[in-house]
Amino acid sequence: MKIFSVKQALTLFGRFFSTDLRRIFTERTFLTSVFLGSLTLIIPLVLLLSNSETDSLSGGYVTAQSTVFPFIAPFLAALPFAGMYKNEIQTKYSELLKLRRGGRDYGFTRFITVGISGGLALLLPELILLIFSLISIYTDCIDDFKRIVAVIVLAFPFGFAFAVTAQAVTAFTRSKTIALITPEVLYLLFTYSFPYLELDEYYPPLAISPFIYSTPNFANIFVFFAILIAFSIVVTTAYKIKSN
Amino acid sequence: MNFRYLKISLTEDFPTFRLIIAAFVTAFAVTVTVYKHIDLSDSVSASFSAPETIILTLTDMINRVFIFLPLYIFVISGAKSTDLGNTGVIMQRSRPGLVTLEIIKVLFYTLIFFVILLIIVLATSNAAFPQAEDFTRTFFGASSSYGISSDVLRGTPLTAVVNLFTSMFLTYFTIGIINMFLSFMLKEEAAFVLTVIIGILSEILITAYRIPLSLSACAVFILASFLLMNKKNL
Repeated sequence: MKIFSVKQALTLFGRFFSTDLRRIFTERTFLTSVFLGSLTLIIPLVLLLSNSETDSLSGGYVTAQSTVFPFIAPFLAALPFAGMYKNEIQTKYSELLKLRRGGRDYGFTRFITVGISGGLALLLPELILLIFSLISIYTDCIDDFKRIVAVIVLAFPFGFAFAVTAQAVTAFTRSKTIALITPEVLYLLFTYSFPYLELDEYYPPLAISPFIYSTPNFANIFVFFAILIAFSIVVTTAYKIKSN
Repeated sequence: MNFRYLKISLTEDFPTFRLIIAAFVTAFAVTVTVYKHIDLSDSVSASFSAPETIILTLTDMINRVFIFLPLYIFVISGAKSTDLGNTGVIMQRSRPGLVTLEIIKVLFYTLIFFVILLIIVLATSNAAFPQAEDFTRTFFGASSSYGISSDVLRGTPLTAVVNLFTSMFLTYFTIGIINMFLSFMLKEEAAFVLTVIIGILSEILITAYRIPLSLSACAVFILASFLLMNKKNL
């Protein structure tokens, strides 16, 4: 194994991180994810406005955001990583990366990159929806903004958690489709089962649309994210130990 | 027929990992269904028996169509002899022989899947509910709201369970054969997605129109497979 100084290692780490970030944000799937997310947010808002069912900014925003978006959010979060992963397998870039790493393990750097991409894939559509809502609905109520900021802020950790889950799945399979579908399947399975298992407070759609119930419990939402991220870290670490 | 091919194929492509995942998800889904029925029996202040819970679990649309079926196709599609490919045809010396052995393989994996399903369903329902030889009155009352047909309730609970398992087995086996044919023509992932769509649609149609389709559909597809296997492009 090649020995690096701390400075060299940090430089390599930074270079790997920036290259990875540049790659994932220029992926076509990242743009597709943002586009699809924006569509699933804007269409309900337009329908709401055309039926004149809303007159407050937060009411319109929260209703539009909690209609379709929460149910496809894990899929949208995993999409950028799935595209990048497919390219890596097809072009054998992953093999080249192994050589360039020189024995260093950048698995957790990749974790951060993938997480950021998943988070932004959900955050950007919500910001676009906010712009649309501000243009179409007038408000001067500060409470409106507090609710909206809470919803927007949650989109990032939600995307982060489900994108890293998709990455963890690649420890078991080289299939892009399985990596893409698994977070969505897990999410739907939990959404179906949690009410029967009396785990209502951890109901997954609450993690991205906390105002489905009148009083959201943010502590439970972050416990849900933490469990997903911890699961991904454990799986990836176990796989790395096994493969070494 | 060259059974050596079957032996190699079974040992090389045995989907152990997929079966483990299927077992975990099935156990989870069955546990959730049992919890659901405990809630229901509490709300109507009466208890279901273990065989009745099995019937409810197997006739539950979400379980049957959206959980067990995709899992089954996930297991089957992982068992395709990807590495053997054309070598399989040479080893078998004929395409009909190859297709027949592939059908035997699908049958074998379907049996394994159903054994796992049976063990999990029996263990979970027996742990939560008492045994009974006849249907309870609560179950008769509740059966129509669950969409359980009166045909199921004619015999004893045991015969109803056996009938349900048999019909489910034949339906899934048919879908497994469809998947096998699609995987000859398409990539594994495309075949998987297409089979899931076909499977879900056919299950919904069977349930909605109460067609006793499984046996006839199975026979039709096996016949179609034997007719198709003479095609050179398979």
